[in-house]
Amino acid sequence: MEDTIIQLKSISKRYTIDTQIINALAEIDFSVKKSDFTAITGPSGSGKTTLLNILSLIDIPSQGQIIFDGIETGKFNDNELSKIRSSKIGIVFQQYSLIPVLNVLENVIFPLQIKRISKHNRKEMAVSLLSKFGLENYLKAKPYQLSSGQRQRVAIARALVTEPLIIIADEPTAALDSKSGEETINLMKEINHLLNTTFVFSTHDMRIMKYAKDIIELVDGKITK
Amino acid sequence: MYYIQFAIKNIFRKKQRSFVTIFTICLGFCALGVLSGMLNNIYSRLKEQAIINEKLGHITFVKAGYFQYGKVNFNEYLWNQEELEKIIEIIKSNDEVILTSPRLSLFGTLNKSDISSIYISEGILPEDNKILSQTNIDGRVNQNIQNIDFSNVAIGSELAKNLDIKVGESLTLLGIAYDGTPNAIDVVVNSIYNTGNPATNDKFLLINLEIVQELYGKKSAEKIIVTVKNSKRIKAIQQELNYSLENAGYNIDSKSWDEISVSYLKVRKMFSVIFRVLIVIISIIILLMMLNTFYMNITERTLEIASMRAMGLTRGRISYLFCLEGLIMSILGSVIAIAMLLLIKFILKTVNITFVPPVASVEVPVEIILIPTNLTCLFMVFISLGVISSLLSVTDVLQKSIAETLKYKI
Repeated sequence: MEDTIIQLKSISKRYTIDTQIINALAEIDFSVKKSDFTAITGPSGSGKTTLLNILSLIDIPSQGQIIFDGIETGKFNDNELSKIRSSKIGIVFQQYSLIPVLNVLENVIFPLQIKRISKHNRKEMAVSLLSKFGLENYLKAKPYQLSSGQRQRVAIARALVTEPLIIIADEPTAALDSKSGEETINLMKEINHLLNTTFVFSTHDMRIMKYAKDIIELVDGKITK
Repeated sequence: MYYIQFAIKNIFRKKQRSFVTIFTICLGFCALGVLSGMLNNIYSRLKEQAIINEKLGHITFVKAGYFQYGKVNFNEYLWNQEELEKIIEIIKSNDEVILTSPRLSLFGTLNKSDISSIYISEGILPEDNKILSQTNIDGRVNQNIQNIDFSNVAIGSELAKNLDIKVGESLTLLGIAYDGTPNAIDVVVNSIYNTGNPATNDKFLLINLEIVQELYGKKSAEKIIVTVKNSKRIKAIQQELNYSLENAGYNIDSKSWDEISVSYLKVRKMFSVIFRVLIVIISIIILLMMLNTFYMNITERTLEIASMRAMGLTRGRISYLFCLEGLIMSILGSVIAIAMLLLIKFILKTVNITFVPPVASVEVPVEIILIPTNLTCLFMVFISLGVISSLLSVTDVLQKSIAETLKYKI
């Protein structure tokens, strides 16, 4: 149990559209342990994104408990959840979501600023990480000047720079061509191997899934295997 | 500092839109600045008219009861020569007093050959009038009236025109003496001048105090007009002099110029109401325009806001960031507006266009008088508008959950 980062207990999520109630997730029990490299798969509308949103504490379940790093988060307010996200969770978005007015270095520094790391240290940490990602020559480049693969590497660097307990990625290869997609997943795998960083990501892509240690399949909001 | 840099980068993200917003703020600020500056000019000219042209000075001292009953029982409220000398001595002992001018009113009819007309007048010593005409009004020293010669009489220009009176001609003034008997005196018209007020310009005579006293048959005065060095201290000096005179045993009453000049107060009150209404209307227009711009901005940045929140940036910090953007644009717009107002002020001074202020008969230059306190108030209003509009527009997005906002598609 000590190695468990997130534990979901009987998590359900319901949405109401007009008068119709949609069960996005139903009675999910699931846990993520340190160093896991877990893929969540399933058809469109199966609840992958909802599950990732709940795992990354950006959505609140309709029912059930989330225990993050040993603490039950149900009674946390928005600011307390923000604090956990800024220090313990790294998020990689499908469309990178880099801030267009900031250059590569500033984008990676941004989460460190949220975490209130000192100015000197945050630059050092960001430059060091970007160098490891082969982006040392693009520090001053704006996101629009990068290829999609480079953008996703910056997004992963941004998620990783605060040294979070877990990185959650929503279809990180969906917007990439197959070569860039494979490079991205290799990079994630390498980080997982070298730094023991935990990854949970969603994907449709069978080629990507083969890299995962564990695969969770969702169908109609339920884990099938 | 980080957030300020980030806010500046966001402002330059859509340069044209930011320019339009800054320009809107600048235009609104300029509109209110020019209006306020012109009103200040009107107020200042009316003040000049009251203090110098209507000869009210800064403070008027009279015997207690004069303001209530002086018009019906004039003789009761006169100071004799001995009282006048002592009161003037006490007033002059105050270092902040420039002028102490005794006055005596006179009215009656004037005759030129076989034509006659009513007149009203005030007896004033010519040297006192010269000092009064050089009173500093909001930094201006009037150059127009100081050369009026009335060793005998100066006559209102409209009255002179009506009776076809020329400088150097003789007139006979008829009036009531101290003991109630009619009296007459022959005077020479030394000059013709515009009193500055259409209500008095067709009946007013400026007469040497000694001539009025001669016709009245007694060396006396009904009031003493005082001017002071610093017009901001009028009320304080009025109180000090009241205290000194009462301590010396004189039962006196006093009023400052703005308490006596009814037209000044009425005009000022009317324009103040108009100005306040305009401030509200222009502020609402600016607020709506800024809201529109900020809503467009927020719509485009909804996903960015969601991802920043997902990364752990709190609602408060995001509001702060957007407020900073509104604040910086408001400051920029306002600073440019102040520079433009200074330019407009310079241009108006150079071009020298004139106008006749309300209840005046003399043309004065169109100027804008920029008062730092007013500009500071406008600055605060526009900064508040910038912050409020950015806050209002971002609040809507921040009320939604992050997951809901992440689904947003432009």
